[in-house]
Amino acid sequence: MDIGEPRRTYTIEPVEDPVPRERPAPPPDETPVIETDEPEEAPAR
Amino acid sequence: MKQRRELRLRSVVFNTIWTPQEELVAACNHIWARLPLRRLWPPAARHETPSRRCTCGIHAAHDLEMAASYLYMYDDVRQPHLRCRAIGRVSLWGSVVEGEHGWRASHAYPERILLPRTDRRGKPLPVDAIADGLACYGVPVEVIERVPIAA
Repeated sequence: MDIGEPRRTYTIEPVEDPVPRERPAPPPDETPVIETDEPEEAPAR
Repeated sequence: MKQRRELRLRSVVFNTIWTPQEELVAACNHIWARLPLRRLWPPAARHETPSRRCTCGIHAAHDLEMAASYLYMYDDVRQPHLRCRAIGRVSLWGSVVEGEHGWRASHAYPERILLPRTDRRGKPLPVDAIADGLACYGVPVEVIERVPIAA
């Protein structure tokens, strides 16, 4: 494509990323659930 | 064009594929930029793309009609993988050479894709299937009645 005579040259950086990139999904929470054998507290009378 | 089982945008002039979700980075295809001719011809040394003394870079026009005038280049060459000729708007950045009628840049990505409903000869195109195939680029894909050609 003929863009005609060059008028000027410059460097330009976009304010926002022009490329719609897919972000990887965050990994599932892998914190183990610790089960205890402590008895439940009885309600005060 | 169809690449394996997927649709991809490709340059009208060169065999450059636009990879979905990746910016296109320009490289000079002129043969003298790739041959070791520095001693014989200093201007043939490798240069940054785009360069004022060269025509390399990712080209874009100021208006749709001018861009459309290049859309059917090499239409007489058989291209079996070609599905549809599309036009659109592009985001340009990096090093840019601005000319009278457009720009040449080092980096680009489609901002909007326009699909003509028919080809140059008026034959209807499967625009719905093509639009679905181009959804991988993550930009709006619009169907237009025809490509505007400057009189």
